[in-house]
Amino acid sequence: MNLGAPELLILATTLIPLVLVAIALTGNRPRADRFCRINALPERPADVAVVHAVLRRTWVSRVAGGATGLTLGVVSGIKIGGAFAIGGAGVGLLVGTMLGIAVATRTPRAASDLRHASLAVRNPSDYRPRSAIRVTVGLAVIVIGYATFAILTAPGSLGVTVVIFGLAFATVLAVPLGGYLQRRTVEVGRGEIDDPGIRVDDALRAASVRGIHYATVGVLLCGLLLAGYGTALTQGVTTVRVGDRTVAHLPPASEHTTITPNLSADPTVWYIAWTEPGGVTKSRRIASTETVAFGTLAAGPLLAIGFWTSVVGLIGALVAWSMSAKAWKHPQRVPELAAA
Amino acid sequence: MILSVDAAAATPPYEQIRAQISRMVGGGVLVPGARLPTIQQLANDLALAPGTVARAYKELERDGVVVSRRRAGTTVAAAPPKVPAREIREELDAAVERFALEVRQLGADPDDALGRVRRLLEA
Repeated sequence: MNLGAPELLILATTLIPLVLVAIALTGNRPRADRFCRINALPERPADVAVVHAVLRRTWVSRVAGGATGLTLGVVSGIKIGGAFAIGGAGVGLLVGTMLGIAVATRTPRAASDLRHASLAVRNPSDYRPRSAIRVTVGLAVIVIGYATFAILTAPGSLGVTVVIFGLAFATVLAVPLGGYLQRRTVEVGRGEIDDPGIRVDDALRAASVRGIHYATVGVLLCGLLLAGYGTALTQGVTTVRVGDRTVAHLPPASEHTTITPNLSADPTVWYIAWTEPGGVTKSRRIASTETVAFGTLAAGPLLAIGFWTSVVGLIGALVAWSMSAKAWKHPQRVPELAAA
Repeated sequence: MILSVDAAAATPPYEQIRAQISRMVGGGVLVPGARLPTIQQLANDLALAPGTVARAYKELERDGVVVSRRRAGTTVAAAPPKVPAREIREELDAAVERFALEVRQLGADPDDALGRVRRLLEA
């Protein structure tokens, strides 16, 4: 079979993203020895074995959760509209990652009837990055504020616009979900372990909490991506072009736009139909010897802002996801927790 | 500070938790305002149902030993009831008596036993 340049290009553009997704999903495989070194943990064989088992379980669970979420997100996104698949994929991947990491943290089974527990309070804020609350709340406020502003400035039906931005608003739900999963991770039972064991356990919890935090940030950035896309969708105006000239503007967010030519007429008669956001279907007749087609015109600077917001959201979400996967590579912020 | 619960003991687990925290507060080991772990954390660590720990906390609150607030969680009350010194002495005597009896029954070296106790107390 001979493959020409176009076939090779198609093959490359199809395979490269798939390979990149596979590498990204399976990459960042944690290593127990490196984790112990980064966190300055005593490398007792029993502790290293625990670290290896927990890190491996978390990795498998994170990848499985992410892959499941990614699939569900893409399918749901496509159902809503092609371009929403990217936002849906991001939200699915990151929510799946959050849940995957949290599910991997479990209470060990009680070894005997005589059980001990420390009265030291384990607080999620001691385990997540120092700026976690500021970043999370700040991003949530930006998503809500931006989407609200875009709704209020969007021309056309409020109902359609609110539905478009509803998805962006929904990503803010990641904040309470992330908070709950972080608290759950910290509160999971500790089992019967000695002081060095407690340090190991704390470092593992901190890695999981950090991973959940970065995934939460990623979901919010997907919200920004969706809000930006929604802005571009509602601020763009479809134009009717005859040759190089624009002869008409359709109302923003118009749907079911069609151009039907009557080629037997001379000059050709073009029937243009569209449905306005309110649901009213309208049509127009243009007679022209030139080709009549739809074009796009930005209604205002918000279109460009929407585009760039989407780009920032997409890149930010990818970075946050990567940071979530690499959470185990960073030392615990409060290593003295074990001494509490 | 460590809390122990024997799930096989005749005393119910919630009562064991209540008694130990009450003793620590009364003896001044847990100072007023000190935060206690969340119900879920303590229940998970002790492999008990959250309801068991919740009951212990509720009884401690009723006795005025701790205060529960929605956001602050459970903290030691500002003026918890003090355990009289005589009661502390009596409990200590009983505990030492039990310990001495077991050391004798095991035929252990008293110095070794005392050394181990000292190490535990100083840990």
